[in-house]
Amino acid sequence: MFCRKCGAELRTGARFCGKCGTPAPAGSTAGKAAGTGTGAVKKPEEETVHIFSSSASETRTDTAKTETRKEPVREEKSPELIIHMPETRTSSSNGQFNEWFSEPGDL
Amino acid sequence: MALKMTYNVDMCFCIDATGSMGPVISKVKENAISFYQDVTREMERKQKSLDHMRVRVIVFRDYVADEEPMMVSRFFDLPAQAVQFEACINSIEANGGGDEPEDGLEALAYAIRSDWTKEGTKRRNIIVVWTDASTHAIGYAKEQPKYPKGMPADFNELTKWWGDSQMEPYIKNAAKRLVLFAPDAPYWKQITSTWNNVIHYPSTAGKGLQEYTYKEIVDAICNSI
Amino acid sequence: MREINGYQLETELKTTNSGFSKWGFARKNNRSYFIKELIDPVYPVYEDLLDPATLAHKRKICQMFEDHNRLLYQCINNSSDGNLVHIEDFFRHGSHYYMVMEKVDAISLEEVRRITNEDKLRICKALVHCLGKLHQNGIVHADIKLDNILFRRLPSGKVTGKVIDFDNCFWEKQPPSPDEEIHGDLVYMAPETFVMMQMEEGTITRAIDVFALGILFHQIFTGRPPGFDASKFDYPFEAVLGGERLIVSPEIPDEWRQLIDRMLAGIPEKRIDLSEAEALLRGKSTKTEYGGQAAYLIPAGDL
Repeated sequence: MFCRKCGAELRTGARFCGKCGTPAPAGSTAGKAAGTGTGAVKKPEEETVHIFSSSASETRTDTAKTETRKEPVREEKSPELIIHMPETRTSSSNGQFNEWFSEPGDL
Repeated sequence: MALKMTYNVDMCFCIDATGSMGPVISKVKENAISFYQDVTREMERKQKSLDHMRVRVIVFRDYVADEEPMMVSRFFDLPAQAVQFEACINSIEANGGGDEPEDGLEALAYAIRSDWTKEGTKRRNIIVVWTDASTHAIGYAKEQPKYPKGMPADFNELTKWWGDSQMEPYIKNAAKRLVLFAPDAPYWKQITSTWNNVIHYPSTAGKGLQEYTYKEIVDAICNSI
Repeated sequence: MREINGYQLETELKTTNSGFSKWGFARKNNRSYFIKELIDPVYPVYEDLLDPATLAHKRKICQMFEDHNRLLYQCINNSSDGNLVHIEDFFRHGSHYYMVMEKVDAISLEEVRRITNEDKLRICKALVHCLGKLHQNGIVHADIKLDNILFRRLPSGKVTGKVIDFDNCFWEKQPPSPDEEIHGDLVYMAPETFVMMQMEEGTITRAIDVFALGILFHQIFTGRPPGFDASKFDYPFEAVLGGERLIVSPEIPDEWRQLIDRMLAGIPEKRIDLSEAEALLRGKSTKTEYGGQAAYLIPAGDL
């Protein structure tokens, strides 16, 4: 994750940027990969930007930030943790599968 | 200069093969043998004729929970290798999985790095993802023994791999299409809101995509060609 | 149904026959519109997921796209004599761009097959005029085909055509580069477009619209594209590059047959320009010229 003001990389768990002191966005505690789970990704506010309208006398390019929902924007909740009990965790007993598929290598 | 237009399509199917995907995988198996004919018929209806079609399959699960978290096939030429393709699809079994998110982003990374055809006046490189789960952040399981080297470190880097109109490191911008049959959940929704050339058909998480018929799936794929 | 920037969707956005965008119908202020969601470029909204350089890069692409298309759409609207579908709105909502156009109540293909000769001539002349104006303003449509003409019946009973789909439009002075994919229907593709795609060099001009229009006119008059050796070639442009001259049906009146023949010239520099085509057609009344001729029968087929 990066500081929005100066672009410096934020430490995991940082509440403030170590370089410029700007408060880190909520959810930066989730780690460098912007969430090691899935839920700590902030939903962006939905804005509308008018670019061209044939009915306007001048083309408007100002940004109109509009809430498209009445409820306040809130952080995405982590999806409910569901533990599936797998039917089997062992290697495929399907010999045919290994005829067609292989483990991919490093990229 | 060859005077004939050639239209070559490569497809990479990324299939979530965890337990809950059983019904979807069954549907894919039922239709694998006729897939080529169904696609070409639909393309003819659209007055488009394909010269070469190849398909490959990536089966993904969970690097933490599963012993076969990521398995890949080669490309099959269709229709010449339709029987082999069908056998390949039929060999997939839905099992495993740990927590709800799976490792779909790593599957996408492998898909982007497919050995796409360089032939053809007009080309399409289509990645189709089938999953009923959200994904972990990329790198979530990087400590696992089977986790590969060279995977993008984060979503930012994976986004660069996908590219855009000015940057196409692994897949040509004009040719690429990503068709997501996936829930409106992380990180699929983030992909739809960040990457170009993506069409997202949201599934109801947990229901295994059963709301889409095979015909709708073929239509969706053909609309992307 | 959801709302996008005040447009209440009447139908879910679908990808059918869309060339990989999503479209549907929407209402605003008691009027119906056609709305299209574009899938390239996409504006990055998840700032936390991208580093500043990537964010800036993607936003720059979007800014260029906005600037380019704003001017293009203004010019398209200004070029219209009523026969180009009107672009009502172009905006970004969240991460995606949307185009809104007037909704045209089109007649069915069945009905189009039965249009009168007078209608056919009027439509063809109107298309020469409106696309000619577009060309004069420096814009190439680049996707002229039957599917992109919406035919509608006026209260008077006459049928007119409106040109739609500006997704592939470009400024003639800024044509697509040879390594970019040129979209468009292969039936209508000009030979030089194929050469550019195949060789990844060369350029394309307004002449590609003229070629496509020639094919389209042939379909309007006869129900099919011009003839070529289908045992050797799949598309008209292949036949032209193979050294064949496309066969313009003798069913078509002489003056139009000659015009279509000139529109289908293989070398773009030798192809007639639409302003010259219009000059040729000017002052020729459809009634006096073709009133005495036998009616054209439209065979079942494309039209």
